[in-house]
Amino acid sequence: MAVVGAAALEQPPRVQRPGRRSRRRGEALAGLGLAAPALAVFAVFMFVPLVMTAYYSLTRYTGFGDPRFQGVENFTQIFGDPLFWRSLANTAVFTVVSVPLSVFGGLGLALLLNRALPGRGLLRALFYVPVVISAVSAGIIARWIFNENFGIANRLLSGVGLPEVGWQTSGPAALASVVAVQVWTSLGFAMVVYLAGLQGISGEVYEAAALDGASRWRVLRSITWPLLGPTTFFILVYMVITSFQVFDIVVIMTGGGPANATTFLVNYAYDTGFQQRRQGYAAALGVVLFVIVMVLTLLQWRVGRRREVA
Amino acid sequence: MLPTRSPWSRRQFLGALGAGAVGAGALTGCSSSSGGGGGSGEDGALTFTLWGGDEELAAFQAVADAFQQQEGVTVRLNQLPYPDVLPSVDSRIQANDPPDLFRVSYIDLGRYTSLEGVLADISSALPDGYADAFTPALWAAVQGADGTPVGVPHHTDCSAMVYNAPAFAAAGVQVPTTLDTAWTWEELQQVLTEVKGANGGSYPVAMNWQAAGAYRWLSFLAQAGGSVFNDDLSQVTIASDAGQRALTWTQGLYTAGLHDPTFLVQAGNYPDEAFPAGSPLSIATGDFNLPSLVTSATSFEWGATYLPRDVAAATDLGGNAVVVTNGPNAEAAAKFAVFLADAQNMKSFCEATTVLPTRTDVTDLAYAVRPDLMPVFVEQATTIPESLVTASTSPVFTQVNQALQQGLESAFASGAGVDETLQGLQTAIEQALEQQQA
Repeated sequence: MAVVGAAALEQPPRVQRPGRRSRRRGEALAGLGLAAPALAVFAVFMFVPLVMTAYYSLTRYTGFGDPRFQGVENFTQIFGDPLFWRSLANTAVFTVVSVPLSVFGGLGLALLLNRALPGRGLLRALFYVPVVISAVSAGIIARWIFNENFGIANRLLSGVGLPEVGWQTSGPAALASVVAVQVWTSLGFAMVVYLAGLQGISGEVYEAAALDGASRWRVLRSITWPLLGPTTFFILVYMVITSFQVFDIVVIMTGGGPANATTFLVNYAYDTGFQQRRQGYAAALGVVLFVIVMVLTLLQWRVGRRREVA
Repeated sequence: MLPTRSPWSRRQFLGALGAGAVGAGALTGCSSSSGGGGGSGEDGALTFTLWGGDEELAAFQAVADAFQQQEGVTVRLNQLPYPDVLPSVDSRIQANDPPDLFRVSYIDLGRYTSLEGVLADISSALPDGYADAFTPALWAAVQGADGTPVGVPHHTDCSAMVYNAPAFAAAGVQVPTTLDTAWTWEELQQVLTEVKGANGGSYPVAMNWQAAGAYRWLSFLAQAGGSVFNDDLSQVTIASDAGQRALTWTQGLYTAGLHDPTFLVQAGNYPDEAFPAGSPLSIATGDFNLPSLVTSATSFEWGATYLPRDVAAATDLGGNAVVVTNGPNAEAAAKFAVFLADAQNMKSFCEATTVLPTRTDVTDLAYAVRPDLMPVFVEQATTIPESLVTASTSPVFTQVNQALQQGLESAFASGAGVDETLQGLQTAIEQALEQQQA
């Protein structure tokens, strides 16, 4: 060892050949070139609009002529705007109810359809169908299902002796109908992602648990659920973001009513920007929405990381 | 397994990538020069952004074909769903790539005529005496801020009542057949109560004030003798005795269980979609809906009568103009607009689509659909108040309509007080007026 060490010490210091640095630079340039199209798309459709939105949020702007800079006036107005608080509260309730239902519903379906069942492929496809049909179609179907006068929802309820529900005239019921459609359209996505996660868990772990005599509930709680942590994290982040962006099914189903009970932040921002042409104010609403979603995502990320470390 | 050598070196690959990018750029250049994306084409074709039902699109296409025959200029119809038309037009104006022409309702027209340089002055394309043929108030609506015409008032329409004939007959109700004998508010309330009683409690009426149609409530304000503004649009006058009377009566339709509660102001569905299924038993609707009702409401007889009256009869200003944008094809586009609204083409369009002409020289129309009912709408249209036309075409009307959507929804859905609602409307519209004047 000593000889080898001495020999090593006797070697002249390694001089970096001039060709290596230029090759590295070439590789870096090639990498940059290959990433350039994606970067360009992100820059044009993501970063530039983000910066522009931040700028417009500080202006009074109708979309025509020059924006008039007015500092944080739009944000001051937002915090005193009852319709903003109403739409924020609606969005929060919608997220708090619909996301857990979608996540746990998707997990349940994935656990069920991860087993050998007759017609498993067909069942998976059926649960996934709502994901691929357009939100507008889903909204139109749901609008008729929840119609108070003709809809099948109330007919089913009265058929089993339950009172009919004011899906279109009662605020909480209207919100519940929108939540139901959102869960219906997102359940399949959560199911497919969880199925992929389940299939990534090694069978040996389950075998070891079986040898140790672990119950099904114990296996789910101590093996499946923790090992699905990254999958759950992804689904949670994705679902929270999509639920804060819900727009089309509301426009089709309820028009934001009754009495703003289903007016969400994006609907309010759209109405403000494109119907009332208050694009500066709408941009400020967009900035507030962006900050809320970013904070929620960072919180989830920190919680997820802490769990991984633990 | 030995690693296989790529047939291309990195240098060759990057070179090919660069060449590909240059080629793609060249192709993009080709595509932009051919006028893709619905923009104005360099082949001289005009782009006309519009919405429309099947009958309307066919009628527009027929005029476009006739124009092509006569002038040799192609007009491409860029059809969009109604809610997407104005956001699309706005975006394209902002991007300096507006369509050559677009269809716009009178209630949205003011927000474009008040914009400097967006719409084109078409006066040089107007034949002598062309403007004289139009209803003065509607011709005034298509004037820009500097008083020059920027388009043509293409047609108008208005609301009247369409009712389920067997349901009304079951209550032994005689429906008015002339404007003079139109039901008063009190009479209509009594009739609706009887119709509800005779039809197992089905809701007897739904008005068409949903979503962007909230302004149709102003017909009831006008029936009570009120208006949104004073004559020169300098004062807001909605919080008045007439306003109080109109809101009390319309809110009472809900509280008395006569108005279908599923048709509030914020709604995803519309009364004319539900009427064919048998509930509600009558609706306020525009004449432009007759073609779709003919195909959907086939399981019972239905008729039309007038909106109710209070101190006056009144209905809303419906209908649309076609305006020309300030672009390289403005001259040809102006010619098309003039052609579209000439007497013969207007007559054909109105007959095919059951809407009303804006020219006084277009008479004796042979409507393609329910010609027996159209006289009701024609006569009802004579009750569109001048004050409503002026208010509807003002630049702040979008904000007025927005305030009405919020205020009326509170009154109808949440039972907000009449005085509180009117005061809220008064304040919101005054703020809009101040911002417009600032």
